[in-house]
Amino acid sequence: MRKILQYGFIDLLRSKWMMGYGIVFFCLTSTILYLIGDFKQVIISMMYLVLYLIPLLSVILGIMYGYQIREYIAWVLSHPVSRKNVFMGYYLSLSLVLIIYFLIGMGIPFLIAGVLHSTSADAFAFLLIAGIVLCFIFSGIALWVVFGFDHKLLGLGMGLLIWLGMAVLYDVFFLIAVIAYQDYPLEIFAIVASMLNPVDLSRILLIAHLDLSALLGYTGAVIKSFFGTNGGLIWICAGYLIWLIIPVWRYMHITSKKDF
Amino acid sequence: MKKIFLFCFLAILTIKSRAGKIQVCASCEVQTIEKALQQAKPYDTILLRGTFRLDSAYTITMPLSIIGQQAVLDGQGKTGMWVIHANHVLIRDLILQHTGMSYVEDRAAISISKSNHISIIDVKIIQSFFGIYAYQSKHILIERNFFDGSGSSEFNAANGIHLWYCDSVNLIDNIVQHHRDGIYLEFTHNSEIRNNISSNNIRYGMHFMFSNNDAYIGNTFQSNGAGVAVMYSHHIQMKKNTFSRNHGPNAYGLLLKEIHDSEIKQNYFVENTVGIFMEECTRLNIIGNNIQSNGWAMRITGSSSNNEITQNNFLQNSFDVASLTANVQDNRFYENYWSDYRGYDLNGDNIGDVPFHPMRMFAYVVMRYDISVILLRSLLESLLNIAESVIPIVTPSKLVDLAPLMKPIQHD
Repeated sequence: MRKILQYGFIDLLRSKWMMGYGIVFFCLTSTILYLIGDFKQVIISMMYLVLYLIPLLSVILGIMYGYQIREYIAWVLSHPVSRKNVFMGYYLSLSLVLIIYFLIGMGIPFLIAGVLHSTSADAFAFLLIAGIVLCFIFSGIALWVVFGFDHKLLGLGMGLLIWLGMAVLYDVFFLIAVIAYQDYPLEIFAIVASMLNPVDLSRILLIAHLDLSALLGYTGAVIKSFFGTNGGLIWICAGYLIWLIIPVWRYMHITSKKDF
Repeated sequence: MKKIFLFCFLAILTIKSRAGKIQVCASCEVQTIEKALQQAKPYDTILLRGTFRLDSAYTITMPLSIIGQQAVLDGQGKTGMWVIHANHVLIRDLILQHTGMSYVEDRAAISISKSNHISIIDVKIIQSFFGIYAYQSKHILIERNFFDGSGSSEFNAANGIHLWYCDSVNLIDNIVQHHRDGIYLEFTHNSEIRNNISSNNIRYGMHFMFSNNDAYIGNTFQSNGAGVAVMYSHHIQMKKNTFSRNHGPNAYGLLLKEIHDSEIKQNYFVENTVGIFMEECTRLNIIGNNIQSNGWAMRITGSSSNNEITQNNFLQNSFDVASLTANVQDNRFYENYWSDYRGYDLNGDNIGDVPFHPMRMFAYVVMRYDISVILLRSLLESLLNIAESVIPIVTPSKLVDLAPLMKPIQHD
C-alpha cells in the first residue's frame, strides 16, 4: 500500500488540475484578506468557499482522476497485490493531495496575515478542520461514484447531483419541513437533520463559533445546550466520524466485489 | 466688613471643633456601635475597627460620618446593616456582608429612606440581598463601591443598587455583580450613572423605568441575563457605554421600550443576541455607535417612529436590521457603514451609489420560523437573499439606507 500511496501521491501532486486547485484557493484567500482585512469577516467569506467549493472541487477533481486511473488500476490488479491496499492507497493519496493543496492555498495567506495572533485563531482552526474533513468525505464519495458507475458522464453527473443535493436541496427540504411542521417541537429534528449532511454539519461547527449570539436567541433548551456548551462539539465529532467512514466503506465494499 | 469675616471664620471654627470623633473597637473605650450612636452628636465621626456581628440593623437619625478602618459588619444572614434616616450622612471604607435574604422586608445592606445628601463611598457589600436601597431621597452619591450578590435565581436575589423615587443621584465607578438587577432605577430623575461595571447579573445589568432626564455614560454591561432595559422614560442620554455578551432568547444589549427624545451615542454593542431592541420609541437619535458581532444588530417594531439612525458601524452581525411590519414609519437610516454592503462608489465621495436594504429575506424567515436559524450562512440563505433583492416581496422596502458609507467610521 505504501508504494501505491507513494506513486499516486506524487502523480497527483504534479497534476496541473490539483495545482490549479491550490492556486485558486491561494488567490481567493489572498484577495479577500487584502480587500477586507478584518479576520472575522474574511473567515465568514472563506466559510462559503470551504463549505461549498471544497466539496464541489473534491468531487469533480476526484471523479476526473478516478476515471483516468480506472484502467490502470485494472491492470495493476492483474498483478499479485491486495485489492484492499490498492484502493485504499488511491483513496488516501487523492484526499491527502486535496488537503495539502487546500492547506497551502488557504493556510499560508492567513498565517502571513497573522491570524494566530488575532482573536479569530480558534475560528480559523475550525475552518481548517472543516475543510480537511470535507476533503476526506468528498474524495471518498468521488471514488465511490467512479467505481459505482462505469460511464464517465453518468458518474460526473451523479457527483454533481450529490453535491447539489447536499449543498442546496437538502436545506430546501429542511426549510419546507420546518414550515410544514412549525406547530411541532422541531429542535431535535433540526439538529439531527443537520448531522445527517456533512456540509450542514461543518456549517454548524463554524456558525457555533461565528454566530453564537444569533443561535442562542432561539428559545429552546436543546439548542442552548448544544451550542452553549461543549456537548455539541462531541456530537459534531461523532457525526464527522460516521461521515468519514460511510463513503470509504461503500467504496471499499463496491471495489472488493467489482469485476473489471 | 473685616469683622464680619472674622466672625464667620470663628463661627466656622467653632462648628468644626464641635464635631467629635468616636472610636469604636474591641479595646477602645466605646466597644459597640449602639453605644457610639447613643453618644454621638450631629456631625460627629464614628470610626470603626474590627469585626462586628449584628442582630439588627443600626438606624442613623442624625448627620454622621461613619468611617471604617478595616471594619467588617456581618449580618449573620439575619439582618441588614444600616438604615439611614437623616440628612448629611457619609458611610465610607466598610465591608458589609451576609444580610441573608428576606421575602418579608426589602432587606438591604444600606437602606436610605427620605434622606438627602447621602454619600456612600468605598464600601464593599458582599452576599447581600439588596445592596443599597434608597427611596424618596435626593442628592445621593454612590461612588467606588463593590457589590457582589448571592443570588442564583430571580426569586432569591434582589437588586444591587435600587433607587425608587429619588432625584439627583450620582452613581460613579461602582462594580455590581450577581444580583437580580445590577442597577435599578424607578421614578428617579436628573441622575448620572457613570463608569460603572455591571456584569453577570441574573436579569438586567441595568433596569430603568419612569426615570427622566438621566444620563448614563461610560458604563460596561456584560454577560447579564437580559442586558439593559430602559423603559417608559424620556430625555435620556446614553453615551460611550459598552453592552457585551448578553446572550439568550430574551437577551438584549439595550432594550428600549416607550422611550422618546433621547440620545444613544458612541456606544459599543458587541456579541449580544440582539444589539438594540426598540419598541414604541419616538424621536431617538442613534448616532455613532459600533454594533459588532451581534445576532441581530437592531430589531424595530412597527410602532417606533421618527428615529434617526446614522453614522453607525454595523459590523459582522448575523442579521443587521429586522422588522416584521411592512411600514417602517419614518425611521431614517442614512450614512451608516454596513459590513454586508456590496455596492460601489463611482464619484469617490465615500457614499455608496446603491441603497442598502439591511433587512434580508432570511431574517424574515428566521423571525417567522425561528428554528430555521440553524440554516444560517448556508447557500440556501444566500439564494433566498438574492431572490428577495431582485424581486422584493416580504421585506419592508422603506427600510433602507439610501446613503451607505463605503468605509467604517473611526470612533474614538
